[in-house]
Amino acid sequence: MIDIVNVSKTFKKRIKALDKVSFKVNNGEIVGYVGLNGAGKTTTIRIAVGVLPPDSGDVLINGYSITSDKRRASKYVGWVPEIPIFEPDAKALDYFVYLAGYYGIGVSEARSLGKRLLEEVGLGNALYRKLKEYSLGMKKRFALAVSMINNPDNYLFDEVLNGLDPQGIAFFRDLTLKLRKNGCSVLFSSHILSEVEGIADKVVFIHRGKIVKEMTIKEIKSMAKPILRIKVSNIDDRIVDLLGDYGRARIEGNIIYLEEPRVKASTIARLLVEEGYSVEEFSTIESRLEDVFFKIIGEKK
Amino acid sequence: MKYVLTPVLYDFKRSFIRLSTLLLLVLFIVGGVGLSYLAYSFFVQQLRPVNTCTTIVLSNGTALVRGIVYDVSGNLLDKATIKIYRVDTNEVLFEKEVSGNFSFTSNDLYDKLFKLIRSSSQQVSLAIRIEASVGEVEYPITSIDNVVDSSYRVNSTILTFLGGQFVSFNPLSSTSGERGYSEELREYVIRGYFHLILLSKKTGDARLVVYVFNYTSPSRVVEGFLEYNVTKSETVIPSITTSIHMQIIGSVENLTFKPIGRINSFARIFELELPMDKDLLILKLSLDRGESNFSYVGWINYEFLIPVENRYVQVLSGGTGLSLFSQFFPIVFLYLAYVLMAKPRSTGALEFILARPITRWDIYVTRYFAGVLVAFVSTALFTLAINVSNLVLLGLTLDLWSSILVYLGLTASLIAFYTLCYMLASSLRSGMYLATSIVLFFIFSLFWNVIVLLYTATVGGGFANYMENSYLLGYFNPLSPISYALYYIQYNYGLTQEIPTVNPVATVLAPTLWITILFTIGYMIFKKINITT
Repeated sequence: MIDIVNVSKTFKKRIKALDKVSFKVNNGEIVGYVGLNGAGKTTTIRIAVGVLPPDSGDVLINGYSITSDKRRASKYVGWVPEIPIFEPDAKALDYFVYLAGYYGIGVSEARSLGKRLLEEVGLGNALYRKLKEYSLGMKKRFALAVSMINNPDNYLFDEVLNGLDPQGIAFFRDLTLKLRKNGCSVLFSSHILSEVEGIADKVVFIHRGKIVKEMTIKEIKSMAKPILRIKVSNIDDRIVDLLGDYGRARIEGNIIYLEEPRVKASTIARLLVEEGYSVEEFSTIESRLEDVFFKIIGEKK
Repeated sequence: MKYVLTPVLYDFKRSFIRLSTLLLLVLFIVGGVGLSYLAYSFFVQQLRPVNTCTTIVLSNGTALVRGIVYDVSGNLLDKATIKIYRVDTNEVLFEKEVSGNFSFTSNDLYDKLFKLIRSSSQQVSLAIRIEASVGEVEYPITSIDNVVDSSYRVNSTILTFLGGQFVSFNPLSSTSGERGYSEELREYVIRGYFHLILLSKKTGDARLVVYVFNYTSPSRVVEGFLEYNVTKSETVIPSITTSIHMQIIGSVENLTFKPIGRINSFARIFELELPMDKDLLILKLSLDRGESNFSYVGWINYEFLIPVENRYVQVLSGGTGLSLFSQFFPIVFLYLAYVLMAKPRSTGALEFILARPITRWDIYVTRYFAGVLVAFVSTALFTLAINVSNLVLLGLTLDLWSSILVYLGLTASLIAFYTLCYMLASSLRSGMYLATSIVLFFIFSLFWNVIVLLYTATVGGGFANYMENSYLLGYFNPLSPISYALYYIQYNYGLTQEIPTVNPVATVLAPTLWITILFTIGYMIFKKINITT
């Protein structure tokens, strides 16, 4: 379980990157961590894996503090950064062995483990290549393999699908689901809500360093109500007042849009005809998750 | 700390087995060995690596060859090849592999030499060449003597090759002069030489090579007893007008002699311990047959004999190969601090490592010790290579403690400089790190003497104070431990005077402080610094 407790971080004494961020990722749960670029997702994750100290607050990994008991806490967490950076001249398997050394794994054991894990993440044919020759996708796979050295039960994937080819995207999506099935907790950050739609159980929205909402996917989807688009030939200002009781109405030319309608579309159509409006076209526009996202964070696209 | 061990070794491996490190190490070793060879050439000119006393007695159709071959320290050589050759034509007349004390006969050599000596109207130009693992030397013939009988018929011809600083034994006054050739003493006319090798002025250890043979009856083994006395020369040689020889012979009866050992072979090597507050060694050789009548005396003033160890200590400890290494090899550590800390920190590569179950302290210590290990191993390889090459080329190396002192001095210099670079690397970005560390390298390595000179000029005291100031300011230079190590070695061997600014506590304390303070400051910075890109 990953428990982020009141984490705050300020850069250069003035840029407030995180402000009392708190949320949990339970075992067997995938939490989508969504926010615009620069919202504080990566900062949160860096603090959670212990590479960046918070100004205040703490992150508990399986109950162990990442700030005061890092050696133990880090054993239970894997991390795939958005852009993994390694020492470029090292060969993949050698570097794996080196990093495995920090887990107390001896050279020969680390070599066989490295071969198996790198094979598992699809790097079996690039064991002896230098890391500087790896593509972004390969680097992410390598970071994943290293994260799995200790078979942890918590994972932090930071914008992991960014820059991947469809094959890579599918790989990481499937893996995330598999991890959940195995009872692991996964924090999956993205700046695109739809990326986490199919996999996350819950989404935590962050905006300007603050958690603005924590919702299940079901709740988000329920927010994504359709918009009615009605073309009326004899449109006037009275129509806005008329429809205002049934949703949020706005006029663009001779078209009126009714967002979040509280009644059925047929009821609206009947009402307009009864009030003497000549309805020429009547259609429904499905609302997208991204619209919901922007709605939640209170920003325009 | 089991988990740290593998990464330390990994970091060490990739630090040490990298082209730049190995290439420079090989370059410095080759350079060091090359310079050792130059030192060797210089050394050979002053102190021959192989010495010999060889006599060839031509008599009754046979050449009896007897001799001794030994190295610069007076150790018998296990294996050497002697060649007798004509200097004018370079023709090798005879060649044979010998060891230590050797004695053999050769008819072939007799024929060649006899023919040559008898047929030549002028002085025959002969020489002996000795080839051994410790070196190869040539010595011209010292003398050719004909031994005649009572009717002045040549009995035998004796060729003597003295390769070394040999001194002759002289008959004591009672048997002096031509009495050696008189009828009754004929078979006991002795010719003897000795070679005193002073090994150490500090301990007075010396070796005495004695070569004695019966001139008139060369096949007989001379037996006798050798004694010695050491004294201050002025007590024995008070007059400058009388010959020294006569004064010494005159004083022998009043001196008390201590035994050295028996002479029961034509050549022997004895161990001696000479008091260095005295300067005159007097040897008394008493033959078994007869009493004082058959006594010989030899003497040498050893005050100005340059001890063997001083020669090579001066060459080895002041060796240019060593200063080349200590002055330029720190570049490798400047680069290692860049590779291990500055570069990965700047690029953000340390971040991924820090996500392992470790703390910043672990990363800091692991990478630091990887560099420290490189210092230990590369210095060990360098000193070993230099010592082995010295052993091969010169047959000599520094004594164990001096070697350890050189090793510690070099390692401490490298580690102190590496710590400085590492501290900078943990606080500065790559470009700035390189610029700063290169400037510091130039200051501490190349321009330090200028700084000392400027300091001396500023505080006054003139050039005489330069050395004192050099060692005084050395405490503020991380690369200075090796100079203190060399100072103590040379001081120990009496090669340098005591310099008041060199303090044994300070010489240890200074590098310790350099290392611990810089290491701590570096960690304090690294602990807080942002390692993300």
